[in-house]
Amino acid sequence: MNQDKPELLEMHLDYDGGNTLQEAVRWSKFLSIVGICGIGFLLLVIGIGTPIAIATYGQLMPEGIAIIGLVVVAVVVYFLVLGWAAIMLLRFSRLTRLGMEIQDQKTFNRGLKSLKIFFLITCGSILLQLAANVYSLITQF
Amino acid sequence: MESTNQSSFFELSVDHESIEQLTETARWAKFLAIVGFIMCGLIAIVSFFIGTIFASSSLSGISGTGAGVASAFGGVLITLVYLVIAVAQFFPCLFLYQFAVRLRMALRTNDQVKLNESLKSQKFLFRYAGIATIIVLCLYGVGLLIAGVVMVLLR
Repeated sequence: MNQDKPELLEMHLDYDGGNTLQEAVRWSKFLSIVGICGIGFLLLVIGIGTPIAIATYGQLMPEGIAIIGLVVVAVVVYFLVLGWAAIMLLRFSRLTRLGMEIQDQKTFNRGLKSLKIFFLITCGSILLQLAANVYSLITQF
Repeated sequence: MESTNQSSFFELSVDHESIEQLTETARWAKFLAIVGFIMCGLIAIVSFFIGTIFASSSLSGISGTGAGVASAFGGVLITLVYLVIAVAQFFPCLFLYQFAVRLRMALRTNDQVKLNESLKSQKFLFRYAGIATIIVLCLYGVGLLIAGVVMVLLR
């Protein structure tokens, strides 16, 4: 069993890999910041637009307020989940960069963990989108 | 200076915890890439239907060869736009798939070269997404500028 462990450690972050990862980290930081700003802006628009929509359509269709409220809550939750994914991407870029700069294995691993969580959240949100699309297609036909 | 920079990366290794994280990352990334490929294919297929539907629905109430040509052109344009979207979406999925597959192989066979290749694919993925984001943001900026100018002129 112990003989297996040295085999795991044969791979390391060499000069080529390190340079490549540094560029990936730079782009991922940019993407995460744009993502967080975009989601923040969209949440602001929803926050401002929802009272206006309720005030406008609430008088015409009182029963529609509940539906508007549900839709808004679902959209806000979805954007918050995407925001969490963007934060994980930012953590990946920061922790991986820091780990490489100070040569700290733990920090580097935390960066990799954040990348894993980012992909996990992205998969989950795409599955939700697909399920919603399939549901809307079925209800239409 | 260069030798210090070269040797400084060697202290970081792919240890047991890294392997656990990377194995799961590769799994989810591969799934995401395959879903992306399927969506690209669906968009490409749907693009032909949408173009045909648009052309035929435009033709239904309009007479004259000019209107017919315009509708057909509109249908072709919509098809082309969707095809461009499908192609644009294909490449990040390809990079993601390559990243996942190479990473998995590297972790299985303890291959340093494969690990570096998977990191390169990851770099290409983020670079592509970053450049696409910059282009989209510029288009939004130009669109807002044009809208602003039009509004000012209309006043």
